[in-house]
Amino acid sequence: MMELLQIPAFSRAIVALFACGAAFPLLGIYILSLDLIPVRFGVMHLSLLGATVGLIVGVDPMFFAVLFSIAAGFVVSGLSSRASGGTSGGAMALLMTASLGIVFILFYKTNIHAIEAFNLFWGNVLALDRTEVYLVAIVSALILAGTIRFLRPIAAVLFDRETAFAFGFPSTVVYTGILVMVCAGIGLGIRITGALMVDAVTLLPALAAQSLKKNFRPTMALASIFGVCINLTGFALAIVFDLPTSPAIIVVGSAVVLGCKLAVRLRKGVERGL
Amino acid sequence: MVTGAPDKAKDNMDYGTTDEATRDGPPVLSAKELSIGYRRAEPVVRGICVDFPASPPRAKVLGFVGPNGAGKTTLLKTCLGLLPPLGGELRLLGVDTRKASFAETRKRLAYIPQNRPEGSSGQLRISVREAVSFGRLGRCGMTGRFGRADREAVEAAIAYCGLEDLAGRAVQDLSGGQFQRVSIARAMAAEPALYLFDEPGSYLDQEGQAAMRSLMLSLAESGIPLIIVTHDRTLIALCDSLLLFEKGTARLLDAGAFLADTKGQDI
Repeated sequence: MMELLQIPAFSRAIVALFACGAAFPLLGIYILSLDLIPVRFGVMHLSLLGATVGLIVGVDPMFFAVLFSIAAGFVVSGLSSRASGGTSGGAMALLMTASLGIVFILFYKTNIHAIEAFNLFWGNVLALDRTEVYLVAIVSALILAGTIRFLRPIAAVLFDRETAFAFGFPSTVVYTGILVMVCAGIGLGIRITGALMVDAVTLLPALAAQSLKKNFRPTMALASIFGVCINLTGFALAIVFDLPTSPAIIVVGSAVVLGCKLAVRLRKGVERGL
Repeated sequence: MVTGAPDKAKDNMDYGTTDEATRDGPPVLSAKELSIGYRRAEPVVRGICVDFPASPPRAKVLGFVGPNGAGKTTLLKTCLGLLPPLGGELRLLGVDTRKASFAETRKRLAYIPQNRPEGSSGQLRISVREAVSFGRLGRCGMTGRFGRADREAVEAAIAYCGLEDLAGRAVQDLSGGQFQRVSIARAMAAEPALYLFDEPGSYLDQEGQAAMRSLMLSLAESGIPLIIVTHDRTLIALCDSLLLFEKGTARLLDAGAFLADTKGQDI
């Protein structure tokens, strides 16, 4: 095991999984609280457009994918940011379909093979290079620092955006910040776990933490702890049992969610019995 | 219960003094040929002309009454800056709601919404103390970092509304009446110059409604003006004047005369 850790690909994977395990579940809480589930799909489409543009201009498609994801955060916020609580669903549907149309026109008009752009969606944490690990670490640090620094304003906006605005608080700015964090995180998460499995590093730890019915601050802390534990346990199991990494992380995450729900039921049962 | 709020907590709060803006005389609410409604839609109400003055030392209470869909909540949201006026002019505490400087005025307003937040956001488990602290955010800048005065204002508002025993509980675990008290405590923590209530007590049982009325009465007696959207005759009885919404417009009436004229009728 220790020998494996000395292999650069493995050590890079552990750093990336630790960093995103601590930070990305906070995005999961935001996604669940603001009903941003459709945003995940929208960001995937925007990432595909970014990767395609990256391939056309000869720049790392990952870099452009994340850049386009961040832009998606601003655009969705602009399209949905009525102070009176507009939703992001319609805005994201528009972005999703429009970007996919542009992607296929670009495929048709350039010599880019679709499969090259779609490769981004088959994320593999063991294939991360040093630059990508730095990017994951920096974005994760920014998410953590931003959340800690602005925890009360974020909680106010997640709880009731309209009322926060009515009290003279710039809730639209905070809402945009949350959306940009979510989109940047999802853009990076796609590279780490793959597009179809990005929920493993965002939603599953958040679901597990929320199911324990703690208040906001402990839930945020628990989500981070669960995220790190799920990622590293899944990675370890993948190595020991020769499993693909992302599915192993998902199975561990699902087990943790189910375990938390079961624990809550048992606790309630015991309380009733008493 | 509100009526049993500790005297010490009441002493700690500075609700007995009127804000400079209201003391100096600009009307609490004034409108000239105001049209309100939602963007890219026909106005719900047109031609509102009203001048609701401040009259210290006793604060005045203005009620918005009328049938459902007549524009009461739309005007309340326009007052809060959640909707722009579609035409004409609206001033709150003397400041035009379309001016950039109204952002500062909004920090002196306290909004008490009708319901708990809905959807997934409403599921976010926020403690009572945290929810009350949101009322201070307008004063604390972007980071929401609290100083001693902010913490004291939050604790005093919690005590005033009799929420000390519930302060650590999640708001999701509260009854409708307890949640309304949290909303009022949040508003009081803001130390506002004007309270705006959207149909308070509409989902409460009789006991909850009585507690709510008692709290609102104590706010009115503290010298800070109130605007109340309501159908409730007992709340209308708290009002000095009413803005009656009907047939696409609104006019100012005396509350006592309105109650006498509509005795025995549904409002």
